Amino acid sequence: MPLAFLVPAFLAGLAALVVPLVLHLRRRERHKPVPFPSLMFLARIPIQTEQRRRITDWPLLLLRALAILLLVAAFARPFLRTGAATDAGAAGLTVLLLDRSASMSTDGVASAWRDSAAAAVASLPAGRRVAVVAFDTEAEVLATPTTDRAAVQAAIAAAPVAAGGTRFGAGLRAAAGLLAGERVPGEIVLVSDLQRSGRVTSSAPALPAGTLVRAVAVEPASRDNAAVVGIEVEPVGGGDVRRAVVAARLERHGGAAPAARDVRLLVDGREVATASALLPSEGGVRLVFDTVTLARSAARVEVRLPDDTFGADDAWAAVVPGAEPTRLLLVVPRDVQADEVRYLERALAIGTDPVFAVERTTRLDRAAVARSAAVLLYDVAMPGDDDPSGFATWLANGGGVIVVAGRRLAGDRDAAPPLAAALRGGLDRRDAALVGGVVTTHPALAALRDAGAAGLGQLRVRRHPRVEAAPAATPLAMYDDGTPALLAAAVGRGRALLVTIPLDARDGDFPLQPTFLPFVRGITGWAANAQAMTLAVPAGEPWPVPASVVSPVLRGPTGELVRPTDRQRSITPRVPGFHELHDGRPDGVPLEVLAVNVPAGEGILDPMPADELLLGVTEAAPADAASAPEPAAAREARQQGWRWVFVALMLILGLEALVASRGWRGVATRSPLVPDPPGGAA
Amino acid sequence: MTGVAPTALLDPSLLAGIGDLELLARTVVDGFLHGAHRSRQKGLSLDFAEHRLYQPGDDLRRIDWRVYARTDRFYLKTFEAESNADLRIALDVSRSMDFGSGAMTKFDWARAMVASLAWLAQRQGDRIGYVPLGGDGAEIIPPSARHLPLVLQAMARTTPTGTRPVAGALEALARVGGKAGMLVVATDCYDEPERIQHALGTLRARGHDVMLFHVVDPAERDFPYEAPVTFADLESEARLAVQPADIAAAYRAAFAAHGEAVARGVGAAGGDYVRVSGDAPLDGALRAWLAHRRRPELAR
Repeated sequence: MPLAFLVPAFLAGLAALVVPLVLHLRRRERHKPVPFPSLMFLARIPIQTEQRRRITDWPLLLLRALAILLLVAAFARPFLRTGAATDAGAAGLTVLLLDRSASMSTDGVASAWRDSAAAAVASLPAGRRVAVVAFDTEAEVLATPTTDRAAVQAAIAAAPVAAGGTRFGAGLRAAAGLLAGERVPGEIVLVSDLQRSGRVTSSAPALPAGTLVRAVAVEPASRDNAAVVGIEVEPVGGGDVRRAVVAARLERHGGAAPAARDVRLLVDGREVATASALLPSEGGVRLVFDTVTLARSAARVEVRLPDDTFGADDAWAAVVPGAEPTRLLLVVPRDVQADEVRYLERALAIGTDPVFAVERTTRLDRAAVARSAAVLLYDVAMPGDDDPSGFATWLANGGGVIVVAGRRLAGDRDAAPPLAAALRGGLDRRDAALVGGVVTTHPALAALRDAGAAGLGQLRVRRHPRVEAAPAATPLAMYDDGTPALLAAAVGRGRALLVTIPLDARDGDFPLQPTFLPFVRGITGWAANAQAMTLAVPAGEPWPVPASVVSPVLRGPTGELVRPTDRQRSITPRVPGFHELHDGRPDGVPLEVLAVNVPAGEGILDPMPADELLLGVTEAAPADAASAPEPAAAREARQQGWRWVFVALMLILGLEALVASRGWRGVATRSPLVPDPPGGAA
Repeated sequence: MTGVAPTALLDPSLLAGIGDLELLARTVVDGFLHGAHRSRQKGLSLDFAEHRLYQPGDDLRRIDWRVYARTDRFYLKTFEAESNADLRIALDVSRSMDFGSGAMTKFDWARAMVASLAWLAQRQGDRIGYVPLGGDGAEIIPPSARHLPLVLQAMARTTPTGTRPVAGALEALARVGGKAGMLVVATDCYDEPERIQHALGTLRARGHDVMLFHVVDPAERDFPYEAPVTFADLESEARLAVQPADIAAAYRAAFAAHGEAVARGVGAAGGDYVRVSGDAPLDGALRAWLAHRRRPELAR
């Protein structure tokens, strides 16, 4: 357990050690001269001249120096380090941060970055610990801190190159986590092509104080790169045949002059169209293909460019969802009037993005719930946990529910509380209540963004239930008296909404307002998790698995299987192309097809200066860096050493006083042997 | 001084409190003679010399009652010695004498000693003269039977401020003419033994009977210092920082060798050498002088 100091700055006080040294060297000079009859005998003794520059009182000097030493040490707050922490600090830690983003597969980079990483490790001092972290949009620790160079080199050799985007923040955050427990500042060695697009932009990582960040830049063979960065699919016409116009967005960076490229359009693996695009040296174009015919089921659409420096972004895949509607289960009371749900059902029947298939019922059953993406409880109480329909489990596993509270629920005090709220009867608003405070940033109300906060402000409500929201619920809209009009809450992985705005024309005029349609379709689409047509997802981004899939497994374009690894049941595909989702056995007709592409920005191979790497990176407070998983009481106990040092200081001072006042020292300092002669003859 | 034995006054610690040098000398001599149990008349001539006024402390038996009957005053009858001698007292007044570790400095002690010695010599009929060694020579008093008061007054006025080495002062004294006689030198001998010997040899050649009292202070003899110290030379004012523990032995050896060399030199020059310590009673010095005074060759 070697010694360390809490406030090492006080050690500068050790410079005061020179004070007693100088005083002892000049001691005789400071003395009042003692008269002596003649120096004729003393001057003949040769040793005398040497003694001028000698320390004459070593015991007293050592005592005084020790006193200063202890005083400085007491102020510097000494403490004993634990053995493990000391060993870790002594060896030091270097985190080798490997960029495994898609751009690392560029010509010239793919063959060089492992060699650069191996060389960086080889240049480290022997005995220094090394950890290996690979990152793209997420970071993964490939080797925990170790002094085993062979293990480190093996981890580098086995590091995969994925197709994810570059996010330096993710890598730095993982490195900061490894360095957080270090007693001495560590080092981060980043091996990357330093793409500017990966710069830290948000949620900046906090590195431990004093961390040294070193970048090993790997240059691509050429920065001229053309890429497909997106596909737009616009349905055309109607009828039994699905037609669509496909447009591709193409970009080129680092070129010397505009160049023409042949672009191919593939649908379900078949080339259906080709076009030529003139790409600028720097910038993008939009290329529209001829109208194509799509199958009724989900279609796989792909746009391809000829291979160039960076091949991973030369194709863009997208899945155009099939014509199958999103299934909804509308549960109504047995005594429901025909005009109560008329507007609701009509609103759900209008539109194609998405298409809702509404199944109306007065009671829940397990099969109906299981095949539905969302359940609308129109003035019907929430089923309990023990309901035979298995509604609670279905909801917690990712289902969606919308509770439309009306007169029945408001008057039924025995009904189970819907969501995180309690119904407290109904309110008659003779002057008509207004709705405000609309949270249009919520995805369920995204369609109202263009209408602004006044989107729901036009409607008038004459009667609505009074709701008290629990803290877990998020009000998305409020009445003018402060009671919630729309509440959102999470139930497990499921989504739930409570609507107290009347969706019929009896207690308000909402169905007559132009915001009624986007409101109903928006909240239903959000609850059913089918808001918009998802064409593709970027590689490296987690993709939430639909709740209805019990045992999800994703088969990649090269046949690899990926299963959810976290409790959120999300899958992170890393290989560009089409992925098939299966439930259980990964064969047969897939439940869903997912298109995965290289993230936008990876095709821009422009590097940034190394010093821009740390823009946005903060420095953790020293206390955070030094924090260790040690109980506060034990740490406090180890830091009480200054008290004992202070006691030792008092003892030394006492001893010094004793020594200085005894024997010849006391005589010398208090009563000169011979007083000054009268007249100052001496 | 009631209740104090006369011999006790020989102790330097008590003599230091007596400011009157004459009273001090007479007290010392009376105490010395009382303690010695010797006749004060011994060695004195029976030839009448003169009458002098009674002074306190004089022996009442020596009062001439006939003169008292005629004049109503006390006179003492004094006698000429068989052979009167000139006694020159050479007192070292250099600054080095202004040192002492006890109640008296070497100068104070030597002055008391030579004053007592002069008083004693006066009792014995010698003519007393005074030479301050190392001074400017202005206070030289030639020997005379009546000069004792002057000598005592001159010594009382003298302060140890001279800077002349003792050998040089003795050589200067030798160059001064005058009748040969006894020469008592009280000095701390801070000079080269060879030069002292040469100066005393010159004095001896001129017929002086030299007796040298080497006045030594216990501190300069024993060198009791322990703490690191800076010494200041009383004569040259030079300073020297030393570690006493390291040089004490060498110093003591050098001091002892110097004393022995001086003693040998004085003996070689035909003089008497008496080493006296500043913390010792004065009777030793007086006894030594009397022994010296009674030497056959001094009888004239």
